[in-house]
Amino acid sequence: MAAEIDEFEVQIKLRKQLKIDEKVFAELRLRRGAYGQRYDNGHRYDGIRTQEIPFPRRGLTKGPDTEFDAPGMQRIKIPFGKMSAEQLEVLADCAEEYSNGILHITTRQDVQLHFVDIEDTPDMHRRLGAAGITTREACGNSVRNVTGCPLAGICQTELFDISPYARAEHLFLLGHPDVQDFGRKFKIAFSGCSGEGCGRAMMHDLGFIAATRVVEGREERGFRVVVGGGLGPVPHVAKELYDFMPEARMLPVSQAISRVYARLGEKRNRAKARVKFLVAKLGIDEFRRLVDAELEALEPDARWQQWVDDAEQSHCEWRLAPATSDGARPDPGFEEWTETNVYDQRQPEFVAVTINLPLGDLTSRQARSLTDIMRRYVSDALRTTVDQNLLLRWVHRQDLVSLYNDLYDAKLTLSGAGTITDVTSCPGTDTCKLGISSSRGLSAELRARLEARSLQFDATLKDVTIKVSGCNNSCGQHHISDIGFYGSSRNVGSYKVPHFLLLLGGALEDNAGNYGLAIGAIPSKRVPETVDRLLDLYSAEREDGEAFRPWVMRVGKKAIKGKLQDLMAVPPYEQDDSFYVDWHDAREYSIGDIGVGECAGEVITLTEFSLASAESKVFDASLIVDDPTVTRERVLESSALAYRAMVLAALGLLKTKDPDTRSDPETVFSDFERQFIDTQLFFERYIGNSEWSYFQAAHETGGVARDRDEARRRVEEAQLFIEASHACYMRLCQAQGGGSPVLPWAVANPT
Amino acid sequence: MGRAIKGLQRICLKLYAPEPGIGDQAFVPIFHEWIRDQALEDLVLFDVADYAHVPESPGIVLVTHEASFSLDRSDGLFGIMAQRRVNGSGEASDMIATTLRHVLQVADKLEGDHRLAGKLAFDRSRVMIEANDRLRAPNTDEGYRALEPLVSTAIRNVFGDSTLRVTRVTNDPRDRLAADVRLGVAATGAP
Repeated sequence: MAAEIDEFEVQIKLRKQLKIDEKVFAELRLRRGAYGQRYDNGHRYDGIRTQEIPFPRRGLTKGPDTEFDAPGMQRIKIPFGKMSAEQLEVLADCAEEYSNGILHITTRQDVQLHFVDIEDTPDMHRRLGAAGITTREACGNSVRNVTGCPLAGICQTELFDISPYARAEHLFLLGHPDVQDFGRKFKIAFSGCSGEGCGRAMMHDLGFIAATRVVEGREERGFRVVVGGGLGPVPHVAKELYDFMPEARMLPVSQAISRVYARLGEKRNRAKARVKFLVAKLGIDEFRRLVDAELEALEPDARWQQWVDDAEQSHCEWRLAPATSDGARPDPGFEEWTETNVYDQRQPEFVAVTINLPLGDLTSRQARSLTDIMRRYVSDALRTTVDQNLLLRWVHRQDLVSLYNDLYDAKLTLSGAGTITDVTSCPGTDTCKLGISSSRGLSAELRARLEARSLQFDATLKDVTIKVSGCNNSCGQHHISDIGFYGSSRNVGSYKVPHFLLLLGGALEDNAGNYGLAIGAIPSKRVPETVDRLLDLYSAEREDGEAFRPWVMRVGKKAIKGKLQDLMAVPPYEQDDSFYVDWHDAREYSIGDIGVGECAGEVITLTEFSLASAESKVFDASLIVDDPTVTRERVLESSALAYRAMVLAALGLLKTKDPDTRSDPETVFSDFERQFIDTQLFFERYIGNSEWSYFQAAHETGGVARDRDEARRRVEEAQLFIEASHACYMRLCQAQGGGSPVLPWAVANPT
Repeated sequence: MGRAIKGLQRICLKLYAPEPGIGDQAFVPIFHEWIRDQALEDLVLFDVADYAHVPESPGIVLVTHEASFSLDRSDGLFGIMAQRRVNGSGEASDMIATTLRHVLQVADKLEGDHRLAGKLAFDRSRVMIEANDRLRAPNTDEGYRALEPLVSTAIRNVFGDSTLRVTRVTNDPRDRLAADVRLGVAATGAP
């Protein structure tokens, strides 16, 4: 590891001397977990105009369009979330010295530090490495952090502890030659049981779900292996590759899958390069055949068994003797905290305690206090969780009050872990280059409002989950919550308005195997009101004991959308300009020094009509595909409807060129290709390429889908194509100098 | 140690003020406006970070290329904390002096902002300085012996020959080496 870090330090020096190509250097730093961060292209919109940031070494880059002097994000792998006190101490020091004193826990159990200078990274990597922490392959086209259920080993419902297996997987694949040639990232998760959601195996590229079988009277451990899951713009639920794979075959199976993916996975089009697309393209049976063939051909490797054996032996969590013997008086809030943050371990004398971190953040000082607490009560038994929290395990019941009091002093006793107030959020526009809306700003606002209301919530309401992403890439895992949001934007008159797309009906159960579908775009500033209304509706209409998702499925998204319709409207800028600024920001959201168009707020262009119609069609399609009771034929019809929505969106854009353009699908497709694709008008840096391929694929089949999965995917793709069309339309508007183009064919708003 | 600490570049420096009695979010539009106008001398301003949801955190942070300025409450007291972010070419005392000038500039400007009028009053007779580099400036007696003259030189460089008292901050040994500076106070006596 030391030699690799030395080499990286040399690479940084060589890049400064322009002796390494910027693209090559970008991949090199990504493979060390050193990621880009917002504004690193050297430009920033200040609320009036986009300004150049006058970095001292302007023009020296650390990747394409990435200024060398701009700070970045450092992602640090924490395999299956397991962390010792010593490791947490080093992380706290690094956060303080190289970042801003904040440790951020991600939904994949990593730790992230922001605002890090690339020239500080080698020293930081050495310090982390000395504590047994790696940043290797934390980003880039490689095997990312191997995640695992944080309750592994103490869970009431697991079949067995997956921790040693997750550890073996991490160690075996880290830097393995067979995982160095992927077209995209590859995420692996372990789960100890099939029914719960903590492991999230079904939304991963590769998932291992604990399974057992009896062979000749002896119980044998193994895994149900699933492959090709993933969230992102087009979410896929993983498919079963093997219903049972003995534990000794876990590593060779991983290796064989990696080899198939490296050999056949897409390399040129990043938007289609995740393994889920390969599985969908080949079909799970063919994919299995290829993996089986690779397994046959693999040279036997002694490490397959050795890693598993070693991992099992080396995995242990010391159980300390109780730290206290008396019943100390608890600080305020103990009862409420116990209700939500304490989990009864399978081992009756122990409990696990969740430290609820607002938006996944804690300070270095809190982290250091926590290491003292760990050493007193639980030794090294700490896990990061997939809900951006921390979990202390193996707490003696008799220590609970004393532990609470110590956590209270460290300001780490926020209650409500895993409840409605525990909103998950990705970094969004705060630091992410891809963020569209302020997910952290919104989540902070939601948390504060829901905490204020929490005393009114009964147990069923408290169980509702909310997750927020700043864009459709799903880092906030919005698909798998009862109420999900992802960032979007809309043109209103001359202005851009931050929005969030609302999704309902996702679920954590079954290893996050049920994804929510979009209801519609809500102006960012109306999201809290939308959540309030949804909770009120649910409270009023639920049947005895009915959870949120079954309520959504019973009442139907169409009916719910109808009751939210008024919240989707945006008042004109002159009436309320707060809608035109995102949460916890002060800048106007629109781009450029926009003059108010003379017809702003009063006319709607034909393009906007077409886009609205497209949204309506895709919503109808989503209703069909989401209804488990409809016939297969109806489901397949939804795919055609989604295709029709794409045609309408494309038609809308074509109408900016010619209001009388023909509307038959064939003409729309060819005209769109000629006028928006060949001219590159549809493409922006992160938008357009994949969305165009979705339209192409749908057009090639005339909108016909083979099965429910494909129909569902088409609906998701249509939604994305419409979003990209909105974005393209906004760019066209800006190019014309402001808001909606004042075109001769604009028509009066009928409403 | 003296030689090692010469390489010290990463400094944190805090000016204290009584709690302003306004929400941290009030600083967000001010910092955005400063970025728009590149309103601070010798600094490249480019971002605002919001950690106000975390207790005793940096709160709202103005990020510049050279340093971050946060509404710090990490020791339970309100103040503006400057964290030098990038390495410079000067001696450690120069880095301390430069960072001190920067934080004084920020304090002056905040106090002068009409939106905060009368709500902020920084105590310029007290400065807390941390060596944000455990490798070069460990939190030990020897480390402090090397840091103290650098701090005194830097403070005199900025404030002139005023009397000052520099004391080591007693803290967790794992925390950063820190010095508390009182100006207008005799080195050994009371104010």
